[in-house]
Amino acid sequence: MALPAIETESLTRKYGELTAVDRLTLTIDPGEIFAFLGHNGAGKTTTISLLTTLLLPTTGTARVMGFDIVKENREVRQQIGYVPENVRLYNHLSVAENLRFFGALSGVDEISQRIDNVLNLLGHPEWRDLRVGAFSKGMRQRVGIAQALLNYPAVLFLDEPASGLDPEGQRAIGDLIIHLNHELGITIFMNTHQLSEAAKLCTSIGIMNHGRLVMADSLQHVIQHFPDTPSLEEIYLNIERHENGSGKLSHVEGVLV
Amino acid sequence: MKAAMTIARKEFQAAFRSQIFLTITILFLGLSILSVYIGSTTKQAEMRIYDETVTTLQAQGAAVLPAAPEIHTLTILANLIEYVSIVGAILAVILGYNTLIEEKESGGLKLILSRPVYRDQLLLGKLLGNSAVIALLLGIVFVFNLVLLVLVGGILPTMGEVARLLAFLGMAFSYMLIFLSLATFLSIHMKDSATVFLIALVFWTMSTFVIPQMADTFMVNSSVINGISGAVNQLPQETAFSRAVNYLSPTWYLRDIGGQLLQSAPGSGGLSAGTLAAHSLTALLALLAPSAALIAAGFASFLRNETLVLE
Repeated sequence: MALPAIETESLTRKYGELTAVDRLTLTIDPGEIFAFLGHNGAGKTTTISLLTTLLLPTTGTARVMGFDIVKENREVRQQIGYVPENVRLYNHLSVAENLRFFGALSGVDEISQRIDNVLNLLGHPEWRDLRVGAFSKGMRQRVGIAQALLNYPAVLFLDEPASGLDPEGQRAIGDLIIHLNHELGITIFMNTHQLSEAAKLCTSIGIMNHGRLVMADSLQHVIQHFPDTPSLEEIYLNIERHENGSGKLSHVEGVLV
Repeated sequence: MKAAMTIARKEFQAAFRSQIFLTITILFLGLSILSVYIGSTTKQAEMRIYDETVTTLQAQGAAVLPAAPEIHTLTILANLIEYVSIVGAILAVILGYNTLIEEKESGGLKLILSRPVYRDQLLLGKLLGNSAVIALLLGIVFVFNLVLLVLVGGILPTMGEVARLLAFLGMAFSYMLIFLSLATFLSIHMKDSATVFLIALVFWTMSTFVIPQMADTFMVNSSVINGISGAVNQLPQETAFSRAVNYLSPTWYLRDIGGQLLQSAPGSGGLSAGTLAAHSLTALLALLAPSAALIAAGFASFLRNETLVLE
């Protein structure tokens, strides 16, 4: 059996009195596109920050590609790519200079070749010498993904990858995510508010509410568990209502609370 | 170390693409050229007046002629001391104040720290890159001034004078490093680059104006009678307390040692190499101490500060 791409065990992160992530236990298999859903402040970004080793957990453990996020954080960083929300990169540098910088930080050899490869993957080799400062948000987001691919990561973390993009930009990012997953086998972990995007792209979902994971399952199972609910959006809203005490979902398989 | 050097290279590149930085740099270099021109013409005017006075006195049949003014080559560059203390300090603040805040705001910090890069390497890289920018600028100032001394002043400096100028630029580097490390330290803790800039400017104002003026108030005045006019002049004299107050000002250290190295301070032209070296070492340590403390405090807080990646 393949090692899970991501595995967390009672992962908890507190900021003073506030528990941002509360005993998160989750397993994501290699090759999945996992969408992490939840309202603002649900703990999604904190979870990504923990898994990308930017933050230390208060308690609990997590492993990415078999490496512990605390004890083996350097190995974890070598296995992952990360694109934060609204990545802006360095405006005064060209695309190639930005990529060269991040590639060098990752210890990538033959960086020029890698830059060509990721720009070809994006379908925009002509961007190489353009200044990032002149780019639209959608273009920057794609360059942001390019920088995360330089080290050929096993797991790619995307925080709201299509946030604030126009429909064309959203489609381009969506197509790129599918390509990276299907063609290169990269496991994708993405935070998103956009349920239509999640429904289109993901193979499994997790729903967070006030720091707690309230549901985690494959998209197929989730849809089977809610046969009368027409869309992922309705399913999500049902679970949110349940969390607020106005629904009854405890009988549904996959709902954890 | 490789990661730190990569970050340093990026900082170096970024500085020379920043319009504010380039404007201040051009101003700094422009003032440096002006400094040689002003110094050179002032000294030439002094000599001309002396020659005219001697000619007049000789025509009047004076038996005793005044001694020629003591003009040392490096006094021509003395204005550099003020330019470094003012423009140089501001330039260092500009280099440092945005260094981390810009990264926080752009998300660059998260991108860097999600790579196999440790926080100490990141901070070291930023300090190295910005220090290299300062060193390069001072290197350009050095070459400019030597060339201008020859071209404008018509003076070929001796090896000793070149060594004094180099030593002064070493002091200038240490002085500018204080403001770079202060702005970097503040940018670790503050969210807003304008606040960092303002606090650094307040510190600079204290060091450059307030503390030396406070020290002046603790001086004692001696009355000196002018032998020719008979007027009584007040001559301020340093006290132990006024000197102790001045020790709190890095700018005072720079001016003090700068005056000795560039021979503009009274009696500095005749200082022996050993005395000058001892004075320089003391000043260097005094100028490096605040930077060392700020850099150490910066590393300590940067390694612990988790809010950096939350903003």
